[in-house]
Amino acid sequence: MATQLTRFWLVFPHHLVTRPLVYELAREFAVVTNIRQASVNAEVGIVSLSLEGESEEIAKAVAWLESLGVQVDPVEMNIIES
Amino acid sequence: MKSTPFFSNLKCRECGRLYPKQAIHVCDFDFGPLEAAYDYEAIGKAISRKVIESRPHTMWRYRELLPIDGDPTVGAEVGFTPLIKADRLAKILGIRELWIKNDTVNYPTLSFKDRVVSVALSRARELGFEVVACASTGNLANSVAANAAAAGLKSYVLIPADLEQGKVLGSLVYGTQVIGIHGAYDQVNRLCSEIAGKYGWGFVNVNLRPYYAEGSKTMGFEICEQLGWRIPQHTVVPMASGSLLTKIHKAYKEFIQLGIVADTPFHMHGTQASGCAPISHAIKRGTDIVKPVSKPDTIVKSLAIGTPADGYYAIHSMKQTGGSAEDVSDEEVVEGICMLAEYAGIFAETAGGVTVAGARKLIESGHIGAGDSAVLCITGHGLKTQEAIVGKCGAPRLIAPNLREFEEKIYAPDAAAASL
Repeated sequence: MATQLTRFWLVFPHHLVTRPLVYELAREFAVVTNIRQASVNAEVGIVSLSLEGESEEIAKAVAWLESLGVQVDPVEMNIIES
Repeated sequence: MKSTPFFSNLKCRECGRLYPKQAIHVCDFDFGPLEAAYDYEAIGKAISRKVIESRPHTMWRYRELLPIDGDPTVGAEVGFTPLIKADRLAKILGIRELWIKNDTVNYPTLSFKDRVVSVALSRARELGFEVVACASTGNLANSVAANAAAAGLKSYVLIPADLEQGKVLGSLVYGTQVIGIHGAYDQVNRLCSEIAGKYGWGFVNVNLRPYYAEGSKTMGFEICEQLGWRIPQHTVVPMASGSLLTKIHKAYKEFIQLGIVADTPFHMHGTQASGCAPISHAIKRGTDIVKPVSKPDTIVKSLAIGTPADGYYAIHSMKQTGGSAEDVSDEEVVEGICMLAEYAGIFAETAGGVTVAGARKLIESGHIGAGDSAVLCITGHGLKTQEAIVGKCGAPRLIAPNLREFEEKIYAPDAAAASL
């Protein structure tokens, strides 16, 4: 299966702000992580991240992040408008 | 079609890198949004108040400041909606002077979305797209469907599968392909993003977004021209993604830069519904980090965007201009709709209620001075969200078909005369 590059915005709730999730993600799944921007304070962490790997592996990585409570959006953010 | 030298590049809003004028929307380096950049020196030589005034009354009278190369081919009649002086509403809201920019009568689908869609689809044609698409639950879908139909473009509208049928009728009627997608909101979002990335479709609010968003500027240009070539002291704008507010701000700055209006102080204010107010809450907390709202809870569906793409930039527009933000409850939204209807004769959708009720709060709190002048941006027609006010505007009074009962229950001439 071909590798692909997918770009996301991750939003970490406050209780996950101090956990090294991007490091854990790279160890857990066969994806290359690349942080392009980050903005973190005590309440929330917002990180722009690209993931490179097989699409199934990227999907698993996204599902894992979401299972922990991280919001994962495509870089376009809200595609669905009124 | 002749190419104009005015629209030069796409440019990253974060790092300023320049990109070619293609169907791309995100900077490869920092994921910042791309927006249209122009050669203002060339534009300054080409347009003036006099040149603009000589053109037809549509939004395309400012075409040098819109991101297309040739003449518009979609939505040539869009825009130049009325700017109405609303004296009775001003009195009720407690402000000296009030204007309503009335996009409830924008052509052809009765919302400001016709502005952005006509630019996006005109550009889509220039870029060679044969299929255009959007993911939308309302106004945007209607506008893409109608404008694509008129222009002979094939269109797709993607929606969450559980959306009420009533909301998609306004798109289906134009013969567009409506695709319902099973899944949660964020899954649908992600699929749409993948489709846009993989296939040669022009998604108006994804890969055509830099073009699409610029259409909103025309609301700002029109406000200035209709006020007699000046920028209003205060502009109150409803916020979903925050894009409209930033683009009206950009329009004012461009007119100042070109010398078309004087550089007078002005303030940009944003309003949201309290059930989904990430931008307003960030302003109130004094931060520019927008904390997402995971489960929006408001009757104002058209503004219920939990992760607003332009929230950060909207906050900076408000801060730079000394503006402010406010959010209002659903009850206040209904009051806002009713006030606008009863005191200005305009029936707006729920977003209009947010603008009016938000403006009332901003005036009460002194963020907008009682002795000042303000423009309220009303973005869509009330017929689109009638369910929000059903049972909240009273009911008809019923009588038998005879004059006696009419006079007893409805209108007694003697009593009416006495009350004069």
